[in-house]
Amino acid sequence: MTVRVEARNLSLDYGDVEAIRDVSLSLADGRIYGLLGRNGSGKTSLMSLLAGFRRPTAGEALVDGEPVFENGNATRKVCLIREGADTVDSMEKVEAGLEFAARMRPYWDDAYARRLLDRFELSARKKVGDLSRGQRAALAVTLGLASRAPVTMFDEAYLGLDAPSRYVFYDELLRDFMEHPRLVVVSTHLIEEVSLLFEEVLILHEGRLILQDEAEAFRMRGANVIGPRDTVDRFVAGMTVLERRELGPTASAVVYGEFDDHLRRKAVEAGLEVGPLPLQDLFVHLTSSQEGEDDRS
Amino acid sequence: MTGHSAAAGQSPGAPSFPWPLVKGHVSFALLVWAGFVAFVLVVILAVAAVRGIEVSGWDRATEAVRFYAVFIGIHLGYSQLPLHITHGQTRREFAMQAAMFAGVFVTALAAMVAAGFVLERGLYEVAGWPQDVSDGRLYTSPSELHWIFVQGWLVQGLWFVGGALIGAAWYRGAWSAGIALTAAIIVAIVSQMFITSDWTPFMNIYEQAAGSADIQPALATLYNLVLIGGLLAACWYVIRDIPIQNKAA
Amino acid sequence: MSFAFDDASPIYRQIADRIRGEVLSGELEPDKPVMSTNQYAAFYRINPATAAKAFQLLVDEGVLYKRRGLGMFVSPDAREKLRAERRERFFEDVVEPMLAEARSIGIPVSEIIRRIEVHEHEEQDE
Repeated sequence: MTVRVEARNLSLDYGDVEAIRDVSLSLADGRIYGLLGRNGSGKTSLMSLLAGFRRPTAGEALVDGEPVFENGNATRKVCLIREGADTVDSMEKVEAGLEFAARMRPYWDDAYARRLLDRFELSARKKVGDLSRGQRAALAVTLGLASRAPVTMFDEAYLGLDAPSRYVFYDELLRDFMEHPRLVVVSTHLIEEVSLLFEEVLILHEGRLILQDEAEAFRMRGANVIGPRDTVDRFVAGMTVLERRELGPTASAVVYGEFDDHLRRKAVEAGLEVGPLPLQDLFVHLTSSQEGEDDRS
Repeated sequence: MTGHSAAAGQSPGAPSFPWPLVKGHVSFALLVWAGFVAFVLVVILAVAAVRGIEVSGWDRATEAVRFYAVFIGIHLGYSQLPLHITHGQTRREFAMQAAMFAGVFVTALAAMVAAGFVLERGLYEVAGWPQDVSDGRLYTSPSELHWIFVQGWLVQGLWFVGGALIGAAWYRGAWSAGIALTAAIIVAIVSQMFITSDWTPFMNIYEQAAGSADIQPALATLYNLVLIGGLLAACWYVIRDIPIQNKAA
Repeated sequence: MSFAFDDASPIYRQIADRIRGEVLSGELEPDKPVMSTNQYAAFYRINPATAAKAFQLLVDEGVLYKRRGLGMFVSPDAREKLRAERRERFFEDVVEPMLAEARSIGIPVSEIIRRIEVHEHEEQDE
């Protein structure tokens, strides 16, 4: 049995603020998705809708074709881990949090949860309220990984971890995903560190889904073209230019689109230098240029 | 390539009788009750050392039980509700479980209140003190254990559900918390009106509603059940689509 | 994180390049098994689908072959094939750019030839 997550014309308003606007998407089992977006772009709202934490204002959030909101069949397949770490009362111990999860989560692997706590050097006897931000994050990702939920989502929860623990998280996520393939969504605004874990990326901007693409293809979609001003302008005419800068007679343009070998060679023949564009930069350009357009409209 | 299977045997997370909540809270309440009984007896003995005992100390002390009930109710609405939903339960499932838990918990509290009178009677008989109860109760003597139980159930039930309403509304936000608090206070006053004849401020209204200033246990029971039903409906109204927020705990 | 990769080409191609290199150098021997996609994924901290894509590319090229249930193996003629390919591309990939560079900085071709001949003599002397 495989799991499928869909959104159809999904919208969510907070009062008169439109957090999610007409988002449609389809996510397949056995893949790790990267949900990218700036702070306030709607990542948490979208995931909350997919997990049934909120009722859509319009449209549908579906798990295996069934609406998620107030549907136990669907919500029991989903685990959304947020930075706040929904565990137990802060008065209770970590142990109680694990026991609660074991009781509530149908796919829970208790032995794995305890191995993870060991890896994060977190004692189950500690009170949840006494945990540092990093320890809370470690507990949160432990609860997410060990949930083994067919749909497991991490909403920046791991960003509270310090660097060594983040790498433990990446390693464990990959390893557990390979042993127990499922649908994983990881949201982040710090892309460079995690981008290689993703099979597909989704970019949210101001509540809209502006892109869903294979991570490898997306990585190759941007290029930085540098050379004499006129040559650059002639070359990029008709392309999507995300940014253009000048330094004396030299210009550089960040272009977006299919930048294949043929085009690359043409650029070199024209005497231009073509540089790669790191994913993070591409993301920055995509999500800031759009904002500019919105401002003008 | 992918196959998902839940742990064999039972199906965790599926709605069932909320044993963990019941076990945890009833056993803790028993501890508190034992301590409270001991505390009340010590106070009675201390008073007896100064002057004569004329009334039931337990009768006065159990006025405070409602605050315990409201506190647990708030905890249920404010903390347990979001916790269960983030762990995959639906609001409806949680509401059913919470209602079952409330029924058992309030029954246990009422039984503990009644049992306190029995324990106190032992001491009072040995000492030869009168175990008089206040006016304005559904019971007129400590031997009317059934009415003691009924009143304990109604008051604790009403305050518990009121607490759950306030807790859930508070989780929703400050505005709804204010409205829920106001509503709960009004309901508590109306409830008290039907139980306590010496509760003067609203006696005129009561007289008009009940037809006489006397307390009528059956009528009081009925009206209080209606009030509890109203609070339960209000609870469901608040939680039926309650959004789970992303607050750092 | 991308300690092992650059942004200039897709990750799967960079992994394929690395495996080709290991076949050329003899580190990966003919008919010997290659690490699994999952092991590659875990080692480089990349999505297993990316590693699988690299393997598929190499299977399509005939560098690797698949044995059902056993995993990927190095083709017996993989090394020879890769060497032939590299030889074919040597002038295009190495010599042409070198000549272009020499032209732009003013080194005559005759001087390059002389230098190469010196190298050849040294090698013969050894």
